[in-house]
Amino acid sequence: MGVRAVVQRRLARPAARRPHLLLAVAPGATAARLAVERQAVASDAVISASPSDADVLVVVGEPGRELAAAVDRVWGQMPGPRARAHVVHPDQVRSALGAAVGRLADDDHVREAAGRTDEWHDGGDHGGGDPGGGHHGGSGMDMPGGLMMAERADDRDGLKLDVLHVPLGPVLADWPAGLVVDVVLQGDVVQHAHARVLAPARPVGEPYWTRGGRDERRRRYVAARLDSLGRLLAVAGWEAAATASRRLRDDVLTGTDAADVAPRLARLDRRVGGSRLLRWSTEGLGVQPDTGEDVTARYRRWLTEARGALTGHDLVPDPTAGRDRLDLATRLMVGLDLAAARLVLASFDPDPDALVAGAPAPVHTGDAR
Amino acid sequence: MIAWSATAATALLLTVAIVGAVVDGLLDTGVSVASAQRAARPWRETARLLRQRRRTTVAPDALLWRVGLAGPLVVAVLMATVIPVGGSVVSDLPAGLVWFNAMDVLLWAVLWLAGWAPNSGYGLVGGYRFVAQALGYELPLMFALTAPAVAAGSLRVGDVVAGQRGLWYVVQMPLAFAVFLGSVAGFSVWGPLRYPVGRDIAGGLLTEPSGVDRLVLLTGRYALLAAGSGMAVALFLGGGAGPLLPGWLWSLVKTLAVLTLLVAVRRRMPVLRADRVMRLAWLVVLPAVLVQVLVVSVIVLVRG
Repeated sequence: MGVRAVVQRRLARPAARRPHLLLAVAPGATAARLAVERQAVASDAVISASPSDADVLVVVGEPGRELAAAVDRVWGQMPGPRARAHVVHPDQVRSALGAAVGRLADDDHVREAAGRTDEWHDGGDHGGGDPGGGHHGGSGMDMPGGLMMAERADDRDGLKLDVLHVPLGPVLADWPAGLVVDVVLQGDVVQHAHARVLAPARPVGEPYWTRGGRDERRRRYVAARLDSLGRLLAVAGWEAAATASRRLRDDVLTGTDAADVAPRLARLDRRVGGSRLLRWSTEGLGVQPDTGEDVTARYRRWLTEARGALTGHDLVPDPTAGRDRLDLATRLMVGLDLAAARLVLASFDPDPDALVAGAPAPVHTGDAR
Repeated sequence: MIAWSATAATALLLTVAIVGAVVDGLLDTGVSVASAQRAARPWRETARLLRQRRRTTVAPDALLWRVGLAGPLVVAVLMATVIPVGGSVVSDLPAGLVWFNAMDVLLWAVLWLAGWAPNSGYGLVGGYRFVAQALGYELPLMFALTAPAVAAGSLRVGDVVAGQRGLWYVVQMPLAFAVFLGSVAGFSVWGPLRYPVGRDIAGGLLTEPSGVDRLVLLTGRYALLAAGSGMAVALFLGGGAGPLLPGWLWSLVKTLAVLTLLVAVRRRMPVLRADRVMRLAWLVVLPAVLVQVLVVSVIVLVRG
């Protein structure tokens, strides 16, 4: 035990130099989320894709009851040593993250991790952010782990495949804040999708992206498109381009001169908008029935709109704003495999801040089969 | 004797794998972080994974999960046994190429288990994705291995290296070389072919493992890349041939060059979904690599 403790302490310092953060973002906290993402890049932290890979749970904004419950479940799934940080205002980010990472090295936290029995063994709550395989049924048969076997049903190719009920979100990387899409999967094909946005604890005012005076709004208009693009590129697995897009987003928001931003945006447009490989993987996906736009057309439109706004053109309002957009995105996800379905959703990039603005009750929408 | 050389080969493989991880940090130039910081990432990641508790899931198949997690590293070590470093090799089997191919096919089972065994939705999808992807790269890989074997008239890796004394095979069969590198990315779940560990499914095969389990799996991936690079050098880049430096050093230098190339593509390309890989592999790559084998065969016939 003595040797073990010494080794543990030796490892603590280098380990804390590259903490992995799991972000749980409530709607209405976009400003704080952007600050966390910026701080993560600056301190060479990793924004992880799953609880098992995370050291610090960063709760951003003020989650409502259901989102808070999901966050607690995710907290239980983190292996530990683990620490929790809560950020509401952008100014708190530095100190909150610094303190959480500092706590990771604590002997107490190490002991807590070693002393924990797994969530499953102590009969705790589970599921939620992390899909636990089968479907809960009620025939009273003893099944492995107390779970029922998955049901089976015909799929689109006429195969009898297991039916899995998997919630996408609310704590998922590169995913809109507080959004949950409950999907029914066969293999990895989405058979059914139902989307809802988990309400924050406090009502949200004017959404972040459309707030501010004339110049500020223009900057945010550009940044919103780069934020959406960064998310889409991350979902498409193009890390370098996603990083570039987010970096440019941050520079636009901090008021970097348009003369400096414009050539970089043009370069990004050439690189991303002109990428044949990306186009090949997004073409013909999620075609909008009214406009005929597919995923490719949508991300190219973002780039065009951003460049236009930067050169002083009128700000083109989004043709599919608000709840309709989430409805449509969810409908178009059905029948696609998970990867394609996520690309489609990312290409609409519904803004949860706008969806919950002025809506006290949870927003239910997009029931599609 | 074999035990000694096997230990040495394993140590060398792991060293090359670690260099690969360092290079990956150094090549992440998109962020404004000092290069020393980025180079230190593998050590920091290792430290945090060694500290981290192992995680279990609801009703996993613990034994098969272990097999899936440790499998890639074991497969990479077994691959390395037939890869010559300069003049020395653990075991120059008469059918070394077939051995390499058989080890790579083992990954089908191993990585499927890594996805299936934790009993998790995202992990399972990762497993599906790997099998679908493997269906795309496996046949092209087999024919890419066939081309140098035909040219050398032998399945022994040592003979293939000896057959390149006049001219490296990469000149005679550039396409087979390219396909081989693509397949290495495929079985290492790397670069545009890291679909089975996609971020869009919370890491897929990597969704559930934590702590030392994750460390072993991630090390296995780098070791597979290292083994693939070493094999590419032996089959296409003349093995240890080169002026001045000793053979083993040439093998190593060339291997690191190929590895750097593979590592460099990681962030620079979007991920290819399995359906696209399938279309590309069966409609373009497979016919092309067959033509490559035909060309090589004709050259062999003409030369008598």
